[in-house]
Amino acid sequence: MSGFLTVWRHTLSEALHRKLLVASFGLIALELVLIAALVGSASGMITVAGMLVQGMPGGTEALGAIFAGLAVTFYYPGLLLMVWLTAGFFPRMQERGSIDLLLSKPLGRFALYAGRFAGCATIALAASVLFFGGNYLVLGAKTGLWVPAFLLTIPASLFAYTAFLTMMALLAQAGRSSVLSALIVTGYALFIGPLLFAAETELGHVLMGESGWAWLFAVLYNLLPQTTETGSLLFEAVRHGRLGDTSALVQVALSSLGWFAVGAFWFHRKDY
Amino acid sequence: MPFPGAPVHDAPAMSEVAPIEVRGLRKTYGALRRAKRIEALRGIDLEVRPGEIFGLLGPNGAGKTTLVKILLAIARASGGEARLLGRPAGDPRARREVGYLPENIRFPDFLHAEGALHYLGRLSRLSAADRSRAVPAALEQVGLLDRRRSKVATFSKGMIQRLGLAQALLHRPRLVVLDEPTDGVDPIGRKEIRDVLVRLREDGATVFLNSHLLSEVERVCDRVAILDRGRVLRIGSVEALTRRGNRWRISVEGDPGVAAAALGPLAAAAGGAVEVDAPTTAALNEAIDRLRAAGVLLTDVRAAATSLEDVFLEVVEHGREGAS
Repeated sequence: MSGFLTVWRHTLSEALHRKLLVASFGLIALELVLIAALVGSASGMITVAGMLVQGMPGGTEALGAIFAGLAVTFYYPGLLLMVWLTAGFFPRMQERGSIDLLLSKPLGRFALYAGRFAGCATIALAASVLFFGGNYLVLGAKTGLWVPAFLLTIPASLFAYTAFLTMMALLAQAGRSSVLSALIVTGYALFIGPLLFAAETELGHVLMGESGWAWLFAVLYNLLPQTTETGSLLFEAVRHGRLGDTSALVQVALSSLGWFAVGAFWFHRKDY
Repeated sequence: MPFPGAPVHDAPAMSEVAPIEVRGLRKTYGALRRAKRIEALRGIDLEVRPGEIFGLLGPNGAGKTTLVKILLAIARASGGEARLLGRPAGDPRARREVGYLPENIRFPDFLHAEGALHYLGRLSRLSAADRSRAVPAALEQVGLLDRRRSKVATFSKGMIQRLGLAQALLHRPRLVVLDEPTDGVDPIGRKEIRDVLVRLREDGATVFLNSHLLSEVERVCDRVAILDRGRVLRIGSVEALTRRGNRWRISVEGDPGVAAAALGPLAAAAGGAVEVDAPTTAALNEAIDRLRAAGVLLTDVRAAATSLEDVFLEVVEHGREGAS
């Protein structure tokens, strides 16, 4: 356990010393200032950059819909920010001369892998709290509308992030390029995930029929974490204040666990 | 000087356990594809004795680093057995009392020297109190105490090597494994590192040294093994490996030709000395008596030896001829 904690602590220290968090928190602060400057309310109206966009909603449902839209709007940039912030941690740990030194210490490889993983997740949590929490406060203060369900973006994004992190950690076993692994995960989040999601819709089934592509897409859809669905779930949860069909969450959890296990096993068996 | 802050080991005495024991060790890279298969180790047998400085020699690709990596569980063996301080090489408990300086060591460059040692000391399971004493002592030992607050990123290659040595010695290990420790270090630094190794031996630690620098190995090692193409070609003490049969070298004042003439056809002048074959102590003393009787003044008598480099080249070339 002490080895795990030492590696976890070192990962956080690495983030701080590299000014990684400071720089990203600076970016988030800039974004918050921008939102604060753009969004306002006057005479019961919400304005963005001075333009009227919505009359002050009377019903809770309309309010929920607005904040659900905002939550999903912020969800992907926040998620990708976390991915790019932490993409280099696993590749850096596995550089020659560094990994040799770590593996020669009296700690198991799993503690090393899990400690690094937990460190990255903690950095992402800090960034997530600041980004989503900050936007919640700024939007609330500027519009006078407070929808606590918006804060579900924090656990939702962290949940999806850990799924992406399992993929990045696994990719680091195959190659040591942080940029490449971040690009692959970004590509998955923005294109492949939504594509697989679309392929599983009725329209997708009609378009692809019984082709080999349909089979391949179905396999990938069930093997890879269904993170696109977590965005939809988040929208529904913020809008209605309750979770809908949670099977996607279970799939993401199981898939992430599987990818984590594959990555940890690979790391455990690998020669350096 | 031992590190005052480091703990004293309560494990069994070193004399009871071979620090490194290797039996029939094999390692094949790319085992799944015959065309790309590389046999890095082909059945290595080796035993390092407690308290000695053991040198591992071999040309590039001989399998030296692979052997070290298997010992420290950085790579896995394909067959055979490797034991470290009496435990299987993959057991993390075995590594608690091992210090390792890898080739091309890389520290987290955002840390300063002291911070890096504290981090690695924690991984070596040193308590905060032990670290607070051992870290300055280790930095002083390698001459980096005045740079303790400097970022590792600003260090030269030689300083990085010294810091690497400091981290390897931090927890006062019973076995120290060093992979090219003087790589990039200037001559003064090399001498200091050699002195550290000798002090470690005096303190009872065992040193396993992997180095290309044959002169360095010759100076500090008690025994060496010569590896080539994954096999141990020769193993023994430096003295035994470099000794030229029963030949003795007797240094003399004045013309060595006169001394050679006094000893007859079995002797030959060489530099400022005369070399003679003497299979027994009695034969050597007889030769000395004859020289003194001839009025030759002796300044030194020692076994005639060749350099380790010559032995190394001969063993490797002979081994390759035998293999082909």
